[in-house]
Amino acid sequence: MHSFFTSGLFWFIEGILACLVVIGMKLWMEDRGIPMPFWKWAIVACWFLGLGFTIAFVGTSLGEKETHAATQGGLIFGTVVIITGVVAWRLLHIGSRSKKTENDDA
Amino acid sequence: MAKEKVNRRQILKASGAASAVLGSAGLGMFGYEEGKSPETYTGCENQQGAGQSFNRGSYRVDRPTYQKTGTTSRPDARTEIVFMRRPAMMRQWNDEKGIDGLDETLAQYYRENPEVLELDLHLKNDILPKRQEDAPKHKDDYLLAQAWSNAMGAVSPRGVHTPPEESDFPGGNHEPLKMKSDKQTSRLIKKIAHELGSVLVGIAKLNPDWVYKYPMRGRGFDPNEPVEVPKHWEYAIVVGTPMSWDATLANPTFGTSNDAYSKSRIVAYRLASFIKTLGYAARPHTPGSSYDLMVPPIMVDAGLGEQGRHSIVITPELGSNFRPAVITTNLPLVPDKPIDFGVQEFCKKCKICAENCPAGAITMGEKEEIRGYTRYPVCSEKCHTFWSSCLGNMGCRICVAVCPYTRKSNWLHRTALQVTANDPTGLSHDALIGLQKRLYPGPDPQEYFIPSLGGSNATYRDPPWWLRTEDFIDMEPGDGDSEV
Amino acid sequence: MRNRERALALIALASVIVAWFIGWQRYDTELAPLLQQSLPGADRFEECGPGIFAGRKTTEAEQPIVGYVAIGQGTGYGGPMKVVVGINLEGNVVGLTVVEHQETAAYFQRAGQTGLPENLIGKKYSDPFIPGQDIDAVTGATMTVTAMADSVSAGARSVAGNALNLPLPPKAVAPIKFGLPEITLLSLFGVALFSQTRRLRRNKLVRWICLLTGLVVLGFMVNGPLTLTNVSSLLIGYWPAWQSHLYWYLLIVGVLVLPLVIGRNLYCGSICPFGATQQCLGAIGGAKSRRLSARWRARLRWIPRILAWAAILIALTYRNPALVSYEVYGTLFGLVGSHFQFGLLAAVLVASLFIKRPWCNYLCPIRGVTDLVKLGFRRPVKRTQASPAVMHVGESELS
Repeated sequence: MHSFFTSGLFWFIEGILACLVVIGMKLWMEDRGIPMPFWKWAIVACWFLGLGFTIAFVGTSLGEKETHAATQGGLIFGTVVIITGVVAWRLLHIGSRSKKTENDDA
Repeated sequence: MAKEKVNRRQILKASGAASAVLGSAGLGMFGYEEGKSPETYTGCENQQGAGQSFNRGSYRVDRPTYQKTGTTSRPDARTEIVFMRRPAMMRQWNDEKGIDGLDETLAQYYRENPEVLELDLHLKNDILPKRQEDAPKHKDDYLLAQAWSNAMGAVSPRGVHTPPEESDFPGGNHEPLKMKSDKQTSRLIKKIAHELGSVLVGIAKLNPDWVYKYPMRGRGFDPNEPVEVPKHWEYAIVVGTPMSWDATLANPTFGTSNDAYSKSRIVAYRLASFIKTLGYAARPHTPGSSYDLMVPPIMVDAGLGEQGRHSIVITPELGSNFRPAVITTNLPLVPDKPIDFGVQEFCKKCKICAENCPAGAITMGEKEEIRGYTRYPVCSEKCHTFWSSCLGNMGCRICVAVCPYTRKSNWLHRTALQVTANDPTGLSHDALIGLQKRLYPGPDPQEYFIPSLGGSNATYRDPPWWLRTEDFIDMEPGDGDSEV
Repeated sequence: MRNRERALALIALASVIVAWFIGWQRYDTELAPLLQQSLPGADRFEECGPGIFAGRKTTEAEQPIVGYVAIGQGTGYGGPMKVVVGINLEGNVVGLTVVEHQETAAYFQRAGQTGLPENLIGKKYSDPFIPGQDIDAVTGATMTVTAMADSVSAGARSVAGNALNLPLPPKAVAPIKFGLPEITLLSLFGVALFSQTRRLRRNKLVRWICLLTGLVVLGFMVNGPLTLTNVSSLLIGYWPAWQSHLYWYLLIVGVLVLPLVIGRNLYCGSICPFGATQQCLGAIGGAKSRRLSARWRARLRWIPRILAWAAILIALTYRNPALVSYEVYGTLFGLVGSHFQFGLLAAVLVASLFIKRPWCNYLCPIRGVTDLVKLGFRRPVKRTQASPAVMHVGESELS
């Protein structure tokens, strides 16, 4: 009931961290010469939601002592997150100024 | 190019300012909510209605989600309720005389329903003796669970044993007080019900079809006369409490119905007393077997939930984990409207309770017409037989434990509930049912049986630490193997 | 090099044949206790025909025969299913006990949820016993349900014909199953064959179409890629009825026999849904085939061959095709599997993003089998400058 992690202060800090993530990412993308229009931010946001959901799901399941759900859910959602992460990464590179040559694709 | 840069900076500056304003407003709201939150009433959260947290507003409908499809009739508790019929049969049964040795009501019923007699005799002759064999070998495993269950049953109201005309009314020259408005009275009654210990409250207009034609024993009625529904049974107030969550997951043996039964009984009698003090009639109908009517359809009418495949009413807050009681009264009230939050569509596809029922009592098929109303049929004979065979605390409750709606209230399950309640396509139902089966499996239903009947005393989940007898008490090793 | 590989392949083949014979000897079942379970009411049994026992009731005078018990057999997904069937004097099924089966527990349970095989009690020996007709069909467990029905029917008919001398109508033959999965499979093989002969640039587009069709239909809709279990069943001799399992035969022929005829394995490169999955992920992630050095690649390519060989040996010895099946196709397309299989699947999917077809090249037992078959049966190919010593799916068939 009164754990730090379920308190308002925790979410306050998470909010600050989220802002730092966004600022950091913005600068990182700028340094790599990748333009970030609004739709790319939307992709990033969705992916982070997915990642956050997966992590929170595993935590919640462990807290409920549902270890089977934690492992299988972690594997299933985690795999989806990794794959969508790679997809998102490729999409982010659209419009990148320094285009690397793509090796044998298919 | 320069102009673009300036625009971007302006946007960033403006959004920074807006964020400051929004953030501050948010902090204000956070503070306000924290100030009035029922969660902060330490120890009295439910009295503030914290348990009834689901906003039913947008799910209210005009008609309940069961259908009246034929001529309706009222059930006969003497024959159709296993708790009445089976003990009566077992008291009277004589192997030589058979059906003819029973009283006329029972004999007539069994002649019309021979398969029911078969199931009843099966319990008596085959199942109960097997349980007698196994019980001594495992009694120590369930010692703490039984101690807890008995403790919950140690405090119990005296009960109603006289007919409604006598016991429902306050007596003396207690004139009913003039209530200012039905709406206000309803609001008051609900708050009082919460204060008296109920977790969920709902009000319905009593449908006489739900009242037993020939009621349960010991409630003050002449057992051989059909009951005319008293005029003062106008409204039905539904109250109740859930069973202990972690113990419920360790069914069929470590959980108990007694904890919720006891608390719901106490609430019902307290509320009846309150209503009588206002000068109005009130009669409690409480579990285990002190009720004159069928409670689940009243719960549906009162908008607390919807009836699921297992015939238990599923509530948004507690899933299937709710043991209700009803108070019939003539206090003028405004009934609540029933709700629809997607349970019918979900139960059509889910069938997890049916697949996991050790007795096979829950149907995998379609709804059927029973006494003029269409609902999923459940074989109470098979159900009762199974849970009479289990060790530990009486009852089974596996269907409650495996139901996807029966979940503790955290972000994950509240989100899942919101999604299924608001999804018109039904796609989320399929996904969530698939995930439920994949991520939350249980033992093979055969394993729940006692060893003499081919099982291994399995439970759906392991018992919580406070019910593990072996961790707290030095026991002599028992005769049999116990897989705890 | 090639000759050494050929020798190894022939040794592997020889050991498989030996294992088959060992398995044949071990095949044995203990029946007596099950007879009474299947014919309640009888307490003495005497063999009166091949696999048929007469059950007598010794508590009555003259110890009359109250029924007969026979062993019926059917072929399930994992191999034969044996059921001891009790028949009364009218020819009705009064009891049954599944003696052995090799179905995966999940499928056996799924079939059991509709009441099988107990629901078969009460049926008459002359009933068709066909899922979908007089027996509930169960999606996702068709082979298991068919096996149950076939075994009980076989046992009942055996008693009816041999012991009770009742008239035997011809065994109802299941209608030939020829639907979307079979048509898709045939079309894909056809298209792949056709595109081989033309050798147009269109090859790539055609192959992608084949792969995606295979992924959707043969993968997610049907969950029917060729598995090691299928191959083991084939080798042991557990061949199901062709009418209801046409797909199985088409697959076996297309993957194992066709390459011997035309010299190329079309299934792996263009049709296999799991290969398609890896191919898609590889396209998304920019997978390269040269992440490992050539020497390592040559070494790792022996893993699937050794795994397949070992798994088949064990399956043949214990007569249980599904015993050492480590594939993860069912885990992806049917979401059924142990923690290990989910973990392995996750690892393979993630690896597919960065390495080209990692399962195909380094783990797939089917690849192991086709390699062994190719190396063992084919005449040595004329060595040209560019032709690699070993077929690498990632290069020669997909470029």
